[in-house]
Formats: sequence, structure tokens, C-alpha cells
Amino acid sequence: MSALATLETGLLLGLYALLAGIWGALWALAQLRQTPIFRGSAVAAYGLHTLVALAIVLWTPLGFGWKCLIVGSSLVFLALPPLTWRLLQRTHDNERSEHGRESPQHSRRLMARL
Amino acid sequence: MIGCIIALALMQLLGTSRRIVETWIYIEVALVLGTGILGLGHHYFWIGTPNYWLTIGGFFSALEPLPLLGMVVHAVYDAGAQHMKTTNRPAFYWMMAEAFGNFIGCGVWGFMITLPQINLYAHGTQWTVSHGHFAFWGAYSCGVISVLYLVLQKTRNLAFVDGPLWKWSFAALNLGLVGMTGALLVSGFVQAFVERAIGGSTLNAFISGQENAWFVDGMVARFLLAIVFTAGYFVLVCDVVTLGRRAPAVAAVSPAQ
Repeated sequence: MSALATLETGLLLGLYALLAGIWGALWALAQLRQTPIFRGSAVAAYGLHTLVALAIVLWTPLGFGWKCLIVGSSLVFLALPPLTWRLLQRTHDNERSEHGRESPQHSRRLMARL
Repeated sequence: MIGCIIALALMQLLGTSRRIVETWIYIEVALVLGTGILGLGHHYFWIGTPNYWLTIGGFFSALEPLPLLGMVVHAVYDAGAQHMKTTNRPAFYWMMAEAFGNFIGCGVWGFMITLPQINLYAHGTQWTVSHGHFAFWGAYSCGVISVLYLVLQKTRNLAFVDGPLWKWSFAALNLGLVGMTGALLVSGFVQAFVERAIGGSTLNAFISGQENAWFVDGMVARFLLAIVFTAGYFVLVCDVVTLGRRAPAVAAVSPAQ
């Protein structure tokens, strides 16, 4: 690997992970706020992430196996926020349905203090 | 260990039920067994261990950003569910900083240098130091400070924990840390490029790397931002020491509450 390729590949890998994080955070914010700006930004972040993944695959001197790992990770990054969100909702809904309408002790204490 | 401490903190801070926390601990343990333990193999690069650690460490540590992304989504979910309302604001904000700091410090900074091809040049440079600082800050320090505030609320019997001091320390510590790691990253790039990739790790290459203007400027910037970080640390100590005296204390919290 040449000197310049070392820096370029390192920076592209960092950007790849950063854009995945931005995609996840914006996707979660879009679920909370339900506004098109967050949804659009999340899609844009994942689009940029895909472009960076493509650049890593096409232009960096990494081996074939590592490039497969990058592509596979990108697909998992795409599915991970919706999966996590669904699991979070399910665990919290199960908890709420078990306790019925009664709020947990901590929530009552919190509301009393607020 | 830190997962259990954070789980306990979440139960205290957000009133999350034990069952939910336990579910996530099991998921976390599965992810740690799947990526974290073997991912630590990137610490075994270039220290005389067998070559298979390059593949094992590189592969599994490249998977580490995946569970960290789940943590970011979880943090946003919790923040939304709580509407950012809590009786202990510093603990809550430090907990949020933990999730994001962990992703950026371990996930982003780590992913830059975790593959063996890059690590060959980055190992032992300020690039690694930059990742180490940010990862440790995100994975442990923010969580420890969060738990510190929770413990203080309990032991000093405080109804609310808030005020201006923690905000100043939060801003200065995070700004100082991000600035330091950014400056170290620039110096690390110079070392990896000039000293390792071009110079071939000779003594002359080491010296030319150390004398490079970008390297020197990076280290000066790191020093200046370390002063900001230190100032934040003193504000944090001041806040922690004087917390009970400034905030209105509750005489006694009855068990019925």
C-alpha cells in the first residue's frame, strides 16, 4: 500500500463508520419527530455512506475479503436501526401491558417531583 | 462490567424496569461474545503474536461499530421517551454523551485504523493515541461521571440535580477532548505518512516526522486544548464538591414515594 493510499483508505473507513452513525441517529430522530426533514436527511446520510463504501471497494488497495466485509456491514447498517427500534418498542410495550395502566413507582416519584 | 453499571444507572435515572434492562444485558453479552472479545485481537497486531491474529482481530473489530450503532439508536429512543426530563440532568446528559462518544471514539476512530493494512502504518503513532483517548472517554469516562452524579444524588439526598456548573464542565471536557483527539489525529497522520509509509520507520524518518510542521502544530494544539479539558475537570470537581450545598436538599425521602 502506498503512502497516500494509507491515509486515503484510513480516512474513507472513518467516514464510512461516521456516516453509518449519522444515518442511525437521524433515522431514530425521524421516528420520534415524524418530520420529512429528518427522514430525508437520514436517507441522504445512508446514500453518502453507500457512496463511501463504493469508493472503498473500487479505489482502495484492500483485499477482496475486506471489501466483502465492507459491503456486508453496509447492508447490516441499513437494517440495524429499524430492527433495534422494533425490539425496543416490543420490550417496552410488553412491560407496559404487564403493568396495565398503573405507572411504575419511579415514574410516579418523578412526576411528583416535577 | 461497564454494561452492568450503566444498566443500574438506567434503572435509577430513567426508571427503566429491571426486565427491560436484563433483556438488553443479554443482548449486549451476546454481542460482546460475538465481536468484542475477538475484536480485542487488534491489540495483538505487530507484537510478536501469530499472524492469524491479523485476520481475527481485523475481522471482529471491524464488526464492532454494528452494536455501537444499536446503542446510538437506543439512546435516541430513551431521550425521546423521557422528553429529556429527569431529576438528575447531568447524569442524563453524561449518559447520552457515553452512547455517542462510544460510537465516535471506538466505532469511527477505531474503524480508521483497525484493519491490519492501515494499522501497519498507524500502530504506535499519535493516530492510535487519538483513538485511545476518544474510545476510553466514550466507553468509560462519560459513564463513570454519570454514575458519580447518580451516587451523589442518593448519598446527599437531593431532589433535583442541576445548575450551571455541570454545563460548563460538560462543555469544556467534551470540547477539550474532541479538540485534543482531533489535534492528535493530525499529528498521527503525519507520523503514519512521513515516518512510516514514506520513511520506512528509520531513525531519520522518525526525526523528520517529529520535526514536520503539521506534527508540531498538532501537538501544540493538543496542549492548548488539554488546558480547556483541565479547566473542565476543575469545574467538575468544584460542582461535585459543592453539589449538596447549592441544590435544595430533601429532608427525607419516605419509602412510600
